[in-house]
Amino acid sequence: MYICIMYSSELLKGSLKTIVMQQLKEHGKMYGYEITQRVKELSKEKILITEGALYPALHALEAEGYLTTETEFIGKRVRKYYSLTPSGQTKVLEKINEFAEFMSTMKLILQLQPNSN
Amino acid sequence: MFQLNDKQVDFIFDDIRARGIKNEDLQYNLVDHVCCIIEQNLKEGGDFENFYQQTISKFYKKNLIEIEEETHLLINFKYYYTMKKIMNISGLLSALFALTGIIFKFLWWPGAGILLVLGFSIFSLFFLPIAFTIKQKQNKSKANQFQNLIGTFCGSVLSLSILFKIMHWPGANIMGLSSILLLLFVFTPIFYLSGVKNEETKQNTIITSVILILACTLLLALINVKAMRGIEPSKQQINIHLVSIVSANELSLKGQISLSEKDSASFQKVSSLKAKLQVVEELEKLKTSFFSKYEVESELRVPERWHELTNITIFETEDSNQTNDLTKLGVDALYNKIIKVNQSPTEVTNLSLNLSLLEWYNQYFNRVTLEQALQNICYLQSVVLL
Repeated sequence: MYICIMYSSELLKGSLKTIVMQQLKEHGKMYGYEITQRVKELSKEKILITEGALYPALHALEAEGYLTTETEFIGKRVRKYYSLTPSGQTKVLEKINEFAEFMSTMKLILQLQPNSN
Repeated sequence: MFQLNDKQVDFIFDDIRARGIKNEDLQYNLVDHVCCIIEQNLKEGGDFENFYQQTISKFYKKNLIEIEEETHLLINFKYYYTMKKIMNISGLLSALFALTGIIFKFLWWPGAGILLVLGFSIFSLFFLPIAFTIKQKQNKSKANQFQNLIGTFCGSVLSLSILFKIMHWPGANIMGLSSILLLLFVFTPIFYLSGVKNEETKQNTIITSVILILACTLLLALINVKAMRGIEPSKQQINIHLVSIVSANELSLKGQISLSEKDSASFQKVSSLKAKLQVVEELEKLKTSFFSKYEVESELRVPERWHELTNITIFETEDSNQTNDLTKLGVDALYNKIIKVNQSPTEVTNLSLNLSLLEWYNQYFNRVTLEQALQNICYLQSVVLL
């Protein structure tokens, strides 16, 4: 599904889980809206995670055992906080390494000059 | 900053449920998310309902339920694409193997057996179960899932039973019969009842049900129930009778020889009788050579158990210039003794068997099961003893 407005969705599809898990690794427990805001801020509004992409990914990661949830009641609302499980902690490192390697390979293939600024 | 009251939160909850989101966790997530956006962005005293509709419409392309569908897809279909790939590859392989196998079988080329085994087993053990699993995930109703389960099971067992049948492995009949009966009396009624209710599928359901029933009964018509009951003993009896007829005749030939030997006038007759006895003994040796060539265990060599040798088929090259195993076993030498073309009656038989060497091979020894070859040898012994 559609993730953002700046980059084509194909470009980001594979990295959504990595982005989400990295936020949880940095900040511990977070809820959905908080994650989208954090990513929006960090990417200088270039990456906007849509609800339609975020929640399926969160539920899938939970089903795969990488995330665990806590619920908090705010009046009539229920807020679900997501955090990494131990296996999620290892998985996120794997994913980041994989992504870094992928980026350096892409640099070689596309012959990109290292950005000076 | 806008502050949502309980009534407004309830309104959002109800709306999200009404839009088809059934997963409770997803409901909580979406409600909280919408609430956050509204509280962050709507000015105090703003139009709540209007702003809510605008916000929620940004969540999807066509319907909100897309999110639930995507969630379902991601959770359940983790291996969906790999499975689909395996299904396609196994389907292609099984079709290929079965097709080449059946062509090989028709042309009597070696290797037909292994190709058919591969084709049918990949089909019934990989392709059908994987296709079933994929179908099962797309089917939501329990009745449909049960129908799929029975259908897949029957298809799998039926194709395995046909494989067992052509390979002469035990258990083919019981597998075939039970799967056909299950198909006929369990699958077809369920299929009919579930499809006939719907106006759209009614016509197709009736046609398919009739075809199913006819196909099953046609298959059942091929089974000879009476023969099935007594098939093993009667096959045993044939072989036992054959061997005992030969040995009885051999005994009487030996009696004739010893009687004639006392009479010095019938010297000519004795030598002819002894020639016959020699050929009969050579034929007996041929049986033993077949047993050792095809590594038949000693307890299977008795006529009571010859019917278990149907899974061994004798194959030899057709090139008569090449020495093959049949030549080595002495089949050529016997041909010269028993059959002499254009010269009848032959020395040891009173019959005219006008056969070429190749025809001799193919009629009695080549391309037949070991049981048939042994029966043919017995037949030849009887012919010589006549």
